[in-house]
This record gives sequence, C-alpha cells and structure tokens, in this order.
Amino acid sequence: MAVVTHLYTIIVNDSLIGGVAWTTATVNCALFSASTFTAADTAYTTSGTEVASANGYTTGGGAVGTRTLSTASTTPQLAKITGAFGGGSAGTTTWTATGAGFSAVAAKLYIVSGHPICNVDFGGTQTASGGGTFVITWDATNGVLNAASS
Amino acid sequence: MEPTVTEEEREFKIGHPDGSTSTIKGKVITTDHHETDADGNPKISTHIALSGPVMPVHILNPESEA
Repeated sequence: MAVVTHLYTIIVNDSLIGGVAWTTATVNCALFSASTFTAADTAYTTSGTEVASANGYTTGGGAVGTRTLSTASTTPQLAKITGAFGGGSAGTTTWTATGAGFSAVAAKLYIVSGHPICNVDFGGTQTASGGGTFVITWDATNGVLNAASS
Repeated sequence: MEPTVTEEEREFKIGHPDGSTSTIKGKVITTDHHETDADGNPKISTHIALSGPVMPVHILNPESEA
C-alpha cells in the first residue's frame, strides 16, 4: 500500500512567475475521503471529495502555520513547514477525532484563496476516532518544497 | 492494556507533471489505544510521517542540457 504524492502543474508555474509567497501566504492542509489527482486543477477542491465537517474535522482543513525558506544563497532552496495546527509539536498538522471520527485517503496543501500546492495520497484509508489524533508530520530536514537548479 | 502500535515504513511515490516519478521514505503509524469514548467509539490514532520533500522542483540550466 504505497503512499503517492503528486504536485500540481499550476504551483510550479506560480513558482516561476513569483506567484507563491511561501512564507507569507496562508497555507492550509485539507483531508480527502476520495482522491483523484488532476495536475491541471486550479483549486484544491476541483478533484476528489473532502472529508465532511464532523467529528473533529472542518472542511477547509487547518492552517499549517509558520513556514520557512532557505537563505537566498543556498541551493537547493528548502521550503519547510515549522508551524503546528491542532496543538501538536512543530511541523505537524493535527486533528483530534471525536465520536465515530473520520477517515481520509489523501491530504492536500493549498494556498487559501489561491492554488493547490500538492496532493499526498496515503495509499489507503487512514482513520482516527474516539478522541484519537490524525497527525501529519512534514519533513523537518528536506522540507515540503525542494527547488534546485541543475 | 497497553496501546497497540503498528508502524509501516513506506516509499512515497511522487508524480511529476511530465509523467516521471521519484520516491521518498516515510511511514504510517497506527495506534489502537484500547480505549473507548462515552459512546463506545474506539480510540484510534493515525500518524503519517513524511521523510522527504513532497514537491521537488528541478529548474534546469539550459547549458546543462547541451
């Protein structure tokens, strides 16, 4: 059961034209109960079905918080998530599931009022319930976005 | 009863717009706390840990392609 991660063509385009303010935009992480990745999507909700608002999850997901970028002279440029949503440790996005909880097969990072950044397919259904947590830990070393010239 | 923790290491495949793929390491950790809430719902936790950039972007230098 592999986990598949896709990136959106439009966010690559945004990167090249300066449309991505990684450290200043509001970036949310949303969970999906059905996932279809379409590279041409221009909104995070275009493909797939977001987890419904209930049992600890609210549509739109949560703001991932503080993000950092390497210094200008560093290559590759590492765009990291160091903030926390949901009360977890730095670099985590957390939901606490109540009651019957919820299940998700994918997560999407997106810029609020902007474009989707990437789609992380979990490769299967992941569940949290009864007061348990649903946590995503973003890589603290390599970041979410790793841009290099070659 | 102590929680039951299931940890599965996975290779996370990254799809690129040109159809190529790359992989990063990661794992999915599932915890059955062996507890229930007031309504009898089991307390289950899931932790997805990503170990690598989910969006690697390589900007090609035209001279490197010559």
